Amino acid sequence: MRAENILEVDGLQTWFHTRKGVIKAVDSVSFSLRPGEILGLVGESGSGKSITGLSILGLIDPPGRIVSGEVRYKGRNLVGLPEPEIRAIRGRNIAMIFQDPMMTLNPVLRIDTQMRWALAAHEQVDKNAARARSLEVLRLVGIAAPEERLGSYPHELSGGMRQRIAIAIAMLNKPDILIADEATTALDVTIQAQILSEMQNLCAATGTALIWITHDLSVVAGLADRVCVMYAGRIVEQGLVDDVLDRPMHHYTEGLIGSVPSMNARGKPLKQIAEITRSLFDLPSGCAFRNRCPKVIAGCSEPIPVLERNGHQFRCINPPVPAP
Amino acid sequence: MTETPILEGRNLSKAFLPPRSLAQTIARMLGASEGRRGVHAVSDVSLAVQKGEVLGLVGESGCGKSTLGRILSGVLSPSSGQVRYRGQTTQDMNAAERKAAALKIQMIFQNPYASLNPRIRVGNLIGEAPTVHGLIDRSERDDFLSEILQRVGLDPSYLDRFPHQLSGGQRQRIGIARALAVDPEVLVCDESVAALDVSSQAQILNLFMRLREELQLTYVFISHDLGVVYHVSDRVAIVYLGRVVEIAPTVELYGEPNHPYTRALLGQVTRLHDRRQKYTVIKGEMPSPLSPPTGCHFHPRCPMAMPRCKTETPVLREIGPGHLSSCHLNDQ
Repeated sequence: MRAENILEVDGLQTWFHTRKGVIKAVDSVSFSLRPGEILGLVGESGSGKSITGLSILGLIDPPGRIVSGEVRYKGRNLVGLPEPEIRAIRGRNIAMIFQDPMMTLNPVLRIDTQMRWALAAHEQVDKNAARARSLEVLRLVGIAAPEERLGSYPHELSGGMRQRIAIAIAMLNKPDILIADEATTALDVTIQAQILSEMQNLCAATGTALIWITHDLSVVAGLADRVCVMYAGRIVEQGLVDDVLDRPMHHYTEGLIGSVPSMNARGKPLKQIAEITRSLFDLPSGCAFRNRCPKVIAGCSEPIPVLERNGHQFRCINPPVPAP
Repeated sequence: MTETPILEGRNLSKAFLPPRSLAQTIARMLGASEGRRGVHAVSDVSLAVQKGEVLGLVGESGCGKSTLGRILSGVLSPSSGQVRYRGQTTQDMNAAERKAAALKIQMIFQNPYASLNPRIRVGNLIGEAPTVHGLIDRSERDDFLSEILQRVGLDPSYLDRFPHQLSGGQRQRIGIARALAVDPEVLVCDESVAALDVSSQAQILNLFMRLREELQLTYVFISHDLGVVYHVSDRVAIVYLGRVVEIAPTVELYGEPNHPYTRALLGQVTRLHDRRQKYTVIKGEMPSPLSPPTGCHFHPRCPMAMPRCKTETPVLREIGPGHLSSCHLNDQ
């Protein structure tokens, strides 16, 4: 373990054992995170990005299981820890924000009660201290008039406000790592911009590291320091945002970038990735992308090693020629 | 614009009012004026769509763009104002014309998981409407359905499947095929690509553009995604709290936005080229449509608000060829 890393995910495999067969939702995923760093985890639905986030927190339910691999938080492996021990870490050291804040917030409890309980789950706090800390984080996420909001019920708040409360609750215990799973996908561009700028300030101010899970490449471009691109349970490419988005070394990443409307001339057909009905039960051997890839060569059906060039990692033996 | 627009809305308004309480009903019977407070989802909107055009409707959630789309497609009737199809309102038409006109404007919905009945096979989902309306005979039904499916890029073998056997992109294609089955002229697409991954989104957008050429379709394209709207639209209308605040040809609107709200909205777009972006944040949140601000709806959040903006509602008027904006700043 490198000393500067706060989190290391190493060879993580989360498989779902179903009656129809085994789904390798997360297959040999490795990445690391430094304090204060923002890591974007990008992929389409079904690529395993959410399961990766849930695996870090030990939130995988049967038939899913972490088959092998390690998740090291400050050098300590979290995989296989007894539930009471992981509970002490979950929410305190590593917190998560979900897509739908209504799933996170209890609809029949006032915001102040929910925040007090989130604090009380990890330490003894009296009511006044809890209130003071709640007000502090509500201000941190940019909520105007936080005193009033503490007395509200979730249904009285707008979607953007609810998501901010969910982020505030995640920040209550000053976590070292925050995992946000499609946290702004359901929100308007204006609210999204507000929350993204709060997140940037938050990470810079508190040193909290952030894993931002999304399918939206342009959000990652504006927010993250590094990016991992996932396809069919594997990280097919990872590196600095500038390297990956400007000089993609995997045809999937290149295809994703090409299909963003702003990368195409207005009114002209968009570049698109070949469509096939995918099933996670029968992925192609070797590179899982090879039945949609425009540049397949003979070696693509063999297992693909992780190649590296100046810290930019990719799983492609015939990478797109980087633009000069 | 001398040509009669294919679809036109004149002074459209839609208010959703809560049901009357007993006391209110009695008061109304006794001749008291009504004081029911409701949501004015759309207020006094006029727009025209020319044949073959793609009109984009953009706005935040709750701004009334979907309600406007539903009124234009005839799913909802307006509280006041008129919808004209080829210059005629539904009152001008006889029953047969009305029925034909209703089929010519079709809607495609946002969520392909919710808009398809999960217990009906694809063939019936698409085939029901044209059969009921007598557009096809039973004998030619199979050929017709195969042709429609191929048109939206699906294999005819999908006819016997159920929606749950299809991916998100494929379901949205079924939604499009269902709309095309009654031979429409105008498609109202309400956030039709919002629920899809980037790669399926590109495919569906390409399909929309191909169909436009093949079938000379006209689109009203409702979306919150400014990048998508820029790509497909000829003209764009920006909607804020039930009013159109600016409407212009796409390139002009994105290049020289006039209304402060349009400018703010364009400043929020996340782009692939912008790294470690500093977002310019619009202050405050969208006010509740239950109690919209007086005067210009945008004035509490506007960086350039003047005293006049609080009291006087600006008029949507022409500031350049085909470019309309409603802002008091244009009077100076």
